[in-house]
Amino acid sequence: MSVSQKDRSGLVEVVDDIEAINALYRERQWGDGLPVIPPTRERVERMLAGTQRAHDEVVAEVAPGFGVATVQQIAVNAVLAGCEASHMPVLIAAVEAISAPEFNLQAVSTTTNAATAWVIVNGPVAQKLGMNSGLNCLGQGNWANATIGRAVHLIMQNIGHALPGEMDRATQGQPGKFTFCCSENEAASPWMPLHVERGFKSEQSTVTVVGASGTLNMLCHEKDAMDLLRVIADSMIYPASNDYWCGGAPWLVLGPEHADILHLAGLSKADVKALLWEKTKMQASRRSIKDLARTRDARSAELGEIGLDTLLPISPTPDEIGILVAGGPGTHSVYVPTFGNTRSVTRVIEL
Amino acid sequence: MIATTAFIKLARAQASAFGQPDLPIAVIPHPLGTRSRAEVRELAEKHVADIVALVCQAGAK
Amino acid sequence: MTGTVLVYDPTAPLRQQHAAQSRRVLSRLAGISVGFIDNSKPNFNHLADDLGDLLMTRYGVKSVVRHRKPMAGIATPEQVMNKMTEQCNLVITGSGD
Repeated sequence: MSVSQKDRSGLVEVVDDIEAINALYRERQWGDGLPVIPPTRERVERMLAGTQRAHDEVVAEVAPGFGVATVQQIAVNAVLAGCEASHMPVLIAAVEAISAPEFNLQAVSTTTNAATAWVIVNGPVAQKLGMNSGLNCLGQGNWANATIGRAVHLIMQNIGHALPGEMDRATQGQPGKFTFCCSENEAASPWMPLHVERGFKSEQSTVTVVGASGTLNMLCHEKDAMDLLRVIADSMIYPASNDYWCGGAPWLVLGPEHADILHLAGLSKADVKALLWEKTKMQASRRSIKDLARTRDARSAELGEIGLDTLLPISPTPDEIGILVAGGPGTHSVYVPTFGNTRSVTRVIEL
Repeated sequence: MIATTAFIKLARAQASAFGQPDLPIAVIPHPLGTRSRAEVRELAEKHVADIVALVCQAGAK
Repeated sequence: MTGTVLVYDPTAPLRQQHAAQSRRVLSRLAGISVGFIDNSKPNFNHLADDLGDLLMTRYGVKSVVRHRKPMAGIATPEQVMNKMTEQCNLVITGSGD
């Protein structure tokens, strides 16, 4: 019997068999293409024990469909993704963050761009949950990184209705739409952590979401800070970028070795941002003619008249370039271009 | 609203999400952006009657 | 024999707000004002030019009001929408590429 019935409590009756349950989820388009953990009443109850918030409390209405994200519905998706109860406060803060107007989830979820939510965790909770901020932190292998990022994407799809090929119009999308989550390597960073830079206390924990279009690995063995910055800046410049189109807010994940080189040269995070902002200015003529016309529409108010020789800044201000220190040993950093018309949002995790 | 064929599902779902499930949506072939100026004019000529029929009882005049 | 189990539906209903918001079918086009909110996607401005032209010359529309968004992925400002609602009997927007 694969026929199922849904009762008023949102429960569906299905044959008690992992394959039958996954077949139901596949048929209803309630998953991300990977097998899910069945959200039974017992599992959802256990998940809800991870938060003190009332089960029926509305955390947000999630764009683009504006489905209501109650604490319980977040928990259901957390079970699906394989989360543990201790992840619930992170997920609640992440849902608040993606729903903030400046994140522009409406556009991030429906655009033809590959953009999606990259979830960054800062503060003591990251260690408590055993999150990975070191070697392979943007890759596979860590339960919290993988399942928290996955749950956020299931929430965007199931509660926000960003169903691929329906409201989610991504031309190709990206692997990060399965899961895209890490913490900052605060111990290895020579600078203040991201959340402290944004005015939170170091003992607080936060979630930051970024409307990320993908990741680009940057290898550089240079030990001279200015030459390293030159190469990173040059790698950030590409003519088909959304960030140059509308004045974006792109991100860098600096490996601790690269961050140390910059810090030892006496550069603060703000200095690095200011230098990168200058060095990433791109000649407007490098965009296609049609895309240059779109840049004029989007940025004339910011930049005045845009000619072929105009130097386009990657973001309206240097501070809008985001910097995270993460990763392990190695001479690599990662460039994370964004959807452009989105700003990262940080929210406190209430434990 | 005018939607290109590739965007009908989004346009319809978005209209519903904003409380206008019956919003009249005229459909033109995708893509619009890569067409020549003359082709855009042809599209307008071809679809103006559909748009009028969607919003106006009488059709013309 | 396998029994059954209850599992949750992980979706939440699509918001259906103010479905009764009044939208009138126009009785005629002659003499009315039509607005276009241009999403600034390539060629939408030309499509709006041509449709505006055809609506005026063939259907007797009196005037065409235009607003061009700087980019598609942002909402039209409230005051622009209010102004359009006041000035126009019909407003046309776009969704596409």
